[in-house]
Amino acid sequence: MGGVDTGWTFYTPFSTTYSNTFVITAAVGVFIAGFSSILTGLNFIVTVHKMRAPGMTWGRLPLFVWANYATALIQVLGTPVVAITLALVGLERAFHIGIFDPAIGGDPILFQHMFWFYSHPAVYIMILPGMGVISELVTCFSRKGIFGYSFIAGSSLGIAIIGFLVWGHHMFVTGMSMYAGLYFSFLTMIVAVPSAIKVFNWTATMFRGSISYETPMLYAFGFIGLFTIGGLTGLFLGTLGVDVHVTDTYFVVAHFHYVMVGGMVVAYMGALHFWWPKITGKMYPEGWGKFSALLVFVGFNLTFFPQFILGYLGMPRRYHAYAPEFQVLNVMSTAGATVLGLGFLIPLIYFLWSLRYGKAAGNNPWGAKGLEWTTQSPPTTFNFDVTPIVTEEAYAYAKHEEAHVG
Amino acid sequence: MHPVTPVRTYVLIWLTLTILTFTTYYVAQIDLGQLNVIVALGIAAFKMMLVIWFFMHVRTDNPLTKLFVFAGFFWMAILLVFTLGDYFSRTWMPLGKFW
Amino acid sequence: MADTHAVATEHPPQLRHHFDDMGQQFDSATFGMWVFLLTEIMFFGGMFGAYTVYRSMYPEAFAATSNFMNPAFGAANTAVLIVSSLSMALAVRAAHLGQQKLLQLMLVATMVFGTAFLVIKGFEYHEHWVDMKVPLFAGHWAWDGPLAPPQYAHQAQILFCFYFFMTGFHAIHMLVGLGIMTTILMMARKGAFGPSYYTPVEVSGLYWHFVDIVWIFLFPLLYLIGHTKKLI
Repeated sequence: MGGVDTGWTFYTPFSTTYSNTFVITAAVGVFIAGFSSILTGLNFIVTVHKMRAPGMTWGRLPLFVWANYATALIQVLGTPVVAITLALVGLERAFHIGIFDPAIGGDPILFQHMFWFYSHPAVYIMILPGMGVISELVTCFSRKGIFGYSFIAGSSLGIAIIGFLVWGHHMFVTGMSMYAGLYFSFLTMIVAVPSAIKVFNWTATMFRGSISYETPMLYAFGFIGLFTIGGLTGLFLGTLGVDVHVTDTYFVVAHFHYVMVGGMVVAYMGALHFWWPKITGKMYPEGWGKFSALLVFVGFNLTFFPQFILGYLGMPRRYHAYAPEFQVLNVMSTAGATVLGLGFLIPLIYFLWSLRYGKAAGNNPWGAKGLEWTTQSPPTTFNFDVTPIVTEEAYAYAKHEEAHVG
Repeated sequence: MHPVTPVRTYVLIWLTLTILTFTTYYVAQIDLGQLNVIVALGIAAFKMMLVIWFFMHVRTDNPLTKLFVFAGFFWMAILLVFTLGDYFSRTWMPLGKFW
Repeated sequence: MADTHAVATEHPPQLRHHFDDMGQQFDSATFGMWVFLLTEIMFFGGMFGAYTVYRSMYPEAFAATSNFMNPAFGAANTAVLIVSSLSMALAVRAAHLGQQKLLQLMLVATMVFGTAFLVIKGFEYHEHWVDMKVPLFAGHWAWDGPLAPPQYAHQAQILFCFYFFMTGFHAIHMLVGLGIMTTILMMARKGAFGPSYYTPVEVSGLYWHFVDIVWIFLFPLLYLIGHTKKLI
């Protein structure tokens, strides 16, 4: 066997006609993995609709569940399209016909439309659960109910729906019609709004909260700042004129690493630290946790901020070498990557360490609201020995006596 | 669980579907220009609604199922409309001419 | 969960432990099947979309390819599938009412009609094979003769590819449907279904009807439209 040299985007006609690597095998792999995505999404949708605990109304669902529900909707609606697209690529390659081959009347842009119809919503699949995590973390470590619950829940659905309308922003310079570029660009601006709503609501949640700086909260802070930068640079890319200049440069690479790593991976690290005691029954060492979070933050910014500059200066992506004038920034980026790598390596070590030597966590080490914290750590086979009955709103943290203002 | 649909209803729907099939077959032999597409796909859409509404029990289903059925077709429409929008607008006048 | 330790009489054997009652189980199963059919709408929809793009790009080539389609086959297949939908709906109804013999008869009828569909499809594919209109295999594609203007050779090949892929994926779904029906029939013969539990029959019925609906659209799209515009 061997690799595939088409890139994850499988652009035609290279992938269908000219590549000499194992494209069909890879396409079959994606097809099968896609089924796991579809079936998981199906499962979550039915569970949330039909199998909530008594008293768990839609308005009391944890925002993490809302986020995963919206993610499930995207998985179910988008993945089949990439499935059929890759099936057509595989068939074209296997039978030596030319659906997407311009030499015989096919259209490579059609492939890109079908491919990106899924692949753009896919990035929302990737980020939405992370956003759900941040809602959980911010409430717990501000000891405060979420500000704007219905806005955050609704914005998750908003991202899922509008996210399906913007795929053409990956195709501005391909030869697509300029009018299509217009409506895709406009809708790309719109899709930023629900994400912004979340950031404002998290910030408002923290206002006058009783904030503590445990490791999960450090990651939550990191997410809010870094995802905002990544999201805003997405708007740069969504602007037709600017995109002509920065497309296929390191600007794009920096943008998506800010949202993916600065966003999702950071949220994932926060989630891992938050729920580790629940999953394993052990606490991780808090001092090392904070230190690693700092390393991740510093390392990440050192790695990827220079890439915005590099991209703007014109360094292309997907080239095996770069021009000498880009050297300093590239070296800076590599140095940052080393720090970032250390920031990920240390948790690997201490998490493993904690399995054996960590302090026992108890049911609710954080004093958090949420049903998972009412059961054992780790939970029993069916999670709850008796089906819980939900009687209070989500994030019902006790209100503080506030100093009277004015 | 659903209320039971009478056999009569099912047979009537089947008859309607079969008649519509013959209709669409014969209308297709007549040249109506652009109307052929609309008539053929319109009849197909109507047949589809009959199957969904009666054979698949959506008539007696809860609003949630109805919403999801609608959503499926709406999402397919998004793919078609936006993609075809690109193709159809490629031949329009470039914006430069307005300046 | 307390339910798992409930008394046997309160716990029908077909109630899976993660559900509270049979009603919830039925609702969840049918809703789950609808969500799956949603994914199928998007799967076939993607193909319909691509086909529509090429058809609108190459209307003359499409008109030329329609010379080689046989709407009689298509119409026969449509009629057969519609009858199979009737027998399937009657099968679900019989299961709901506990009419075991009728259930089995209707399931067999559905499978017979489904098989008839595939047989007719087989004849049709054979005709294309003989006429050298199968672009997938080098020895069986030839675009020549008075009905085949040579300037449309490539586009016609693309459009014929879509014909075979669309009907092919549909036929695969039919085969899977026949497999499902076989399983349901075997369960029915063992008396697994009755008024309190007929969920698998209902859910399989939804799948079968969906496959019928796909064909209801394929028929006019592939066989009827443009059929009057012959390019001779």
